[in-house]
Amino acid sequence: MNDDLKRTPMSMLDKEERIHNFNEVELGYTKEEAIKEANRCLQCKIPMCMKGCPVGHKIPEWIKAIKEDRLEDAYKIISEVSSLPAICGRVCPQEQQCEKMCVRGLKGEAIAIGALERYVADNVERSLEYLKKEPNGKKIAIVGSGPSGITCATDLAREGFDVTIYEALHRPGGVLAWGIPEFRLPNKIVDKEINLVEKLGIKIIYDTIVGKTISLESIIKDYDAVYIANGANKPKFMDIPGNEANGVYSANELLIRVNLMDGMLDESRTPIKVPKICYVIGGGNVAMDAARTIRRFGSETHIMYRRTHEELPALGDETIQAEEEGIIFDYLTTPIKILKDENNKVIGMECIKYELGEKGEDGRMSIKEIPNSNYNVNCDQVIYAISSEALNIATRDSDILHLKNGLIFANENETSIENVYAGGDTVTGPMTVIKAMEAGRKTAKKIIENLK
Amino acid sequence: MYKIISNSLITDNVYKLEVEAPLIAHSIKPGEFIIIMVDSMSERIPMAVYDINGDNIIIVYSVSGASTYELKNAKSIHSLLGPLGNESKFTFDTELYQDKKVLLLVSGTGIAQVNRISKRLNELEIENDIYSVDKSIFNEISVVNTNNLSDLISKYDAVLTVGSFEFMEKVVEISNILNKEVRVSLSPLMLDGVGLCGSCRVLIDGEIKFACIDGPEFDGTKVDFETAKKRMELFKTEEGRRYLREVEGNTFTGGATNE
Ligand SMILES: Cc1cc2nc3c(=O)[nH]c(=O)nc-3n(C[C@H](O)[C@H](O)[C@H](O)COP(=O)(O)OP(=O)(O)OC[C@H]3O[C@@H](n4cnc5c(N)ncnc54)[C@H](O)[C@@H]3O)c2cc1C
Ligand SMILES: Cc1cc2nc3c(=O)[nH]c(=O)nc-3n(C[C@H](O)[C@H](O)[C@H](O)COP(=O)(O)OP(=O)(O)OC[C@H]3O[C@@H](n4cnc5c(N)ncnc54)[C@H](O)[C@@H]3O)c2cc1C
Ligand code: SF4
Ligand code: FES
Repeated sequence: MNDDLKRTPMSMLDKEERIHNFNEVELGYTKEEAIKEANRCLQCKIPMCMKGCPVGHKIPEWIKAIKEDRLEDAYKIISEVSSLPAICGRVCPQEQQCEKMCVRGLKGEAIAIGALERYVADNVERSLEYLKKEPNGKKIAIVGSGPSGITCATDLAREGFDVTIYEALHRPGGVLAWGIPEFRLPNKIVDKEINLVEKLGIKIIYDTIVGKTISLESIIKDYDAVYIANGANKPKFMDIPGNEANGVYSANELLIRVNLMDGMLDESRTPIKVPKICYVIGGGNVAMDAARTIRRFGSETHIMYRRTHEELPALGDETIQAEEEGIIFDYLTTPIKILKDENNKVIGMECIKYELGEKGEDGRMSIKEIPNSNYNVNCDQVIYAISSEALNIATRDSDILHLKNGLIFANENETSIENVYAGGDTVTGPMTVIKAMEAGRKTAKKIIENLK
Repeated sequence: MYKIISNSLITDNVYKLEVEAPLIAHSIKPGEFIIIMVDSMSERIPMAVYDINGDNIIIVYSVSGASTYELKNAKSIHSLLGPLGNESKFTFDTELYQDKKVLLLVSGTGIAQVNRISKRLNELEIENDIYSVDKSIFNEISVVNTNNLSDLISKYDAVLTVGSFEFMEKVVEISNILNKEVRVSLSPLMLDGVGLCGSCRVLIDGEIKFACIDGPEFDGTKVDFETAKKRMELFKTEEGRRYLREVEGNTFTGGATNE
């Protein structure tokens, strides 16, 4: 037993050095570190951590296996509930889930559950094939290869279903591939996870937009069941003057250029505009990812957020790492106008200051404008990271699914059409990887029951 | 990987590419477009589909920068995404145009966008003509002098124009004076083509629209051409042109089929 109140630290890339490259920042535990951290776990009889996990990871069980250096076993226990552990270990908001509930957190720091999950995934020879059952002759189509689609596909393929995923882009993974940057989630990790699930016989068909390249009706006809998991990624722009200026981008645009199109590599032909001074508007993971990306190209980078440090919706670790990388946070401020020159180029923003008011019903602090607090900042790039909405090309042209403000309407992932399911961000709006996986997993269960 | 059937020069700096793409060939409607990636490190190039030949699609493009230069030398195609955007209103809301005369007025490679619209209108027996303002890529297309646009437009009930923003703005202006319905098919900067990025945003009636999912065709009178023109400067880099000058020497025409 290790009764250190503090968790075992993980090695990280040097902060001066890492802003010059896109290498992964967190380096992962060594065997010694992992066992040391696993030894902090109390192996609770009633494990609170599990109550915080949306997919019901048997956390103390696999932590025990790590402790005893039985990595294969740890992996098997994890695989019962998760097919993407290398990804979840890296990007899940554990601090708001399992680690938030962990009893060791009452006095001291919670167990580093995410870091341990990642340790298992990265250090064991993995395969899911041992789980695969005999083919059952039933065909399933899945729209979108994001975490929700992949999870559903994996669970179904294990059960013996013949699964085909249709993906609009030329790469699999959804947000994992085009959104979350290399320095948090390397593409080779995503590709490795996808390779593993492809070995279960899942077919991924790229460059195929359901609703355009092939119709939703045709796949409903050709398959025994369909799961729509096409995300919610249409970026929003603030409703202020100047959005059309050259130098105003959505965070998605920057991230797609850099991640999906490999813009950080010399051999990539997709251009990136590197500003001198960049302001990223927002305070969530997307804002952090965009700011940390552009910072790596050498720009002076600011994050402008309406509320304060305490209210930042981004993961705590990401905020700390962003600060370490020299990103400047401008709190209680919002732009009201983008300033441009006669060539339509961004030259700055007019901003106003806010102050915190009362706590609102949703538990968040309200904000109010400080009169006459207007001031200007200089910059040559503005990046919006202020959330996104559903688009649903798959269902747009067919009037067979009820849409609720762009989102697909589904009751416990069942749509109004028999054997057509929907889940992940496209039903909930922008959420998390693990919620998307949970929806995929629940849907797979339903499909298995309903098609018996 | 998609197989190239042919990729050849048709006239100064303009090429015709035929690629095997059965799913797109059988689903793409007039007015919709595609995005091409030559290899896995290439840019995504938005292109109209000039024609369909069985399982193949045919693209007509001018070499205007680094990516179209790469396309010219391509041996195969890594990614082909489509159909993107929406069908032209002229072939979609057909009853509106039953007894109308439609003018398809283009500059440069704009011809690629209207060819299939014209074919479909012919099938629907809706009267239509294609005119180009510059020495046309295809001999059979009529040419009109920019000074005579007003006379030409006055003979029609509705206009669809495709070309550079400068050209389309002028056509809209004239059509407005003549009180004719005028639609434009826009080609702003694009990245993903499926609504993820917003780089293709244009102001339509003061509202932000994404050309790749809401367009590319819009009511010409509602388009804010001023900002649209300026946004085109964004990535139209000197670098691309410099690169071409280097590889092509001084014979390079700068892809000036539009000017
Ligand atoms: C920059 C960024 C950072 C994030 N960071 C985190 C984080 O650290 N932790 C966390 O938990 N969450 C994070 N999130 C949120 C998380 O990534 C999403 O909640 C999650 O990816 C949703 O999964 P999904 O499978 O529902 O959809 P998506 O991941 O969006 O996947 C949908 C897929 O469907 C495809 N598609 C769309 N339409 C069609 C169609 N018509 N036909 C075929 N295919 C189609 C898309 O191309 C895409 O591949 C982040 C999001 C972003 C944008
Ligand atoms: C819907 C649509 C349909 C199109 N159809 C055709 C067609 O049928 N035939 C044809 O020849 N061209 C067409 N274009 C234009 C074509 O995509 C551009 O000429 C091409 O991207 C130029 O790339 P480049 O690197 O060779 O040139 P460069 O000038 O070096 O390009 C540099 C950058 O500007 C962007 N860019 C430059 N010009 C354009 C443009 N006109 N439209 C969009 N992006 C541009 C490129 O993405 C690139 O990032 C179409 C564009 C759109 C949006
Ligand atoms: S709550 Fe914390 S200490 Fe208890 S089993 Fe879970 S991880 Fe271990
Ligand atoms: S090209 Fe990205 S949204 Fe249109």
